[in-house]
Amino acid sequence: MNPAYAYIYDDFLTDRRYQDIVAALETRLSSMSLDGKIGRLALFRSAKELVEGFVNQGATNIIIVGNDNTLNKVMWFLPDMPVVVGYIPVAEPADVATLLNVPVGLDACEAIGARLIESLDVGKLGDRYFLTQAVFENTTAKVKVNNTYTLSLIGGGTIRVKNLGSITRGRYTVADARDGRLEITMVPHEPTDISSRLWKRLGRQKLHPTRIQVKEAEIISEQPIDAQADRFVVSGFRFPVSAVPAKLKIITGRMRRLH
Amino acid sequence: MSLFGAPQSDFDSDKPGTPSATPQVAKPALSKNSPATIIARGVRLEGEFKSQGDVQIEGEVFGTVETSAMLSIGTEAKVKAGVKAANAVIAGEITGNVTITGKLELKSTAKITGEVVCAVIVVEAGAKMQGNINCGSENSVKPASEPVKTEASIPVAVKPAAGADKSEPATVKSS
Repeated sequence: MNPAYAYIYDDFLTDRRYQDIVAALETRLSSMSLDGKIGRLALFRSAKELVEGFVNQGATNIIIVGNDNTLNKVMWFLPDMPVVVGYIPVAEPADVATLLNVPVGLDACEAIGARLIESLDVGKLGDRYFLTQAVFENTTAKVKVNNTYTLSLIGGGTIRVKNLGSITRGRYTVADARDGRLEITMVPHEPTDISSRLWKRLGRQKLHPTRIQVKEAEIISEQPIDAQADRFVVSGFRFPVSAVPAKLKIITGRMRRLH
Repeated sequence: MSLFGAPQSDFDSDKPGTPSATPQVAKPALSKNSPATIIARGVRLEGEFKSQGDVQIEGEVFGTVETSAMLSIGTEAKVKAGVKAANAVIAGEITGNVTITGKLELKSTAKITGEVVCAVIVVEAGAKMQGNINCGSENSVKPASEPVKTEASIPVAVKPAAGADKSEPATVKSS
């Protein structure tokens, strides 16, 4: 057993249909001398205490096994830990794996073994870290930047604060998690009148979202609104957002290294 | 900048319109390596906005806009602001002073009310201007303290584009 490695399994992996893949993973990791202690997330078990326990026992690599939701369960505190984070996706959704160029399933072990480590920025929404994006849907909130200007959606819409490239309608949009900045996009509600819909269908009406890049900003709403940071919901009136440069050390796939 | 070699920006800054009035002058292109800021339709910007990269405005702006790169103002944009940029292509409406250190290109749909200072100007037939112009002079790269006033009665004719209607020359009028 390699004491430098610890694995965090999501609780859905106890399901019978994942038994084969988990067994195969453990065999492969063992053959690569990467096997380590295993902790399982559960409903009433603190993920943070679980990871802290492994770190106190000498683990320097925390490997998350599950899917993007598993990653989200630990991402809010992992950047503050002195560890390298790895990710073995075994089920969908695995969009973050795609962004990190880590293959889904057994092949992810090769990425863990290659140990190509990148320091990525993380976003911060209030005091909560997020890796991919924070989303404010159906809102009339304003974005205040550096106390110098504000941006507002005239008829309401969706505000996204992106750190790592995230997905819009099946396509990846660009947000580099190494530039020390967040990308804020604002998409107004789509017009519902017939002519607008017709133009859109004909492909004549090119709508581009508002896009700015900032180091920090504040989302302010007069009404209480929900924000989803890495799919975790936070409610409030004011949401300071900022980029924390090179805060997370994470193992990425080989191809990502080239960019 | 891009994660997967994806295009940095796919917006079209140069809307199709009548051909350029001075074809020998190259149209300033959006620089590829700097991140683009887009203020799209349906969004209002209020305050002092400064950028180092290209800026495209299709929405509403109140305050000031300043960039050291390319500024593109779309046909539906409404800008009530002082504008400063290195180069600019304007197709929308601006109420405020415009200071361009390089080339200013006014599309046929452009409407400017205010003082314009620039090094080079290209005006398409149909563009509307009300105010003072200081263009091409040594002081034109800085905001002129005492701008040269054009005579209200003398239209500043600009060569119409090759395909443009020659019976309708572009005019620049001062208030």
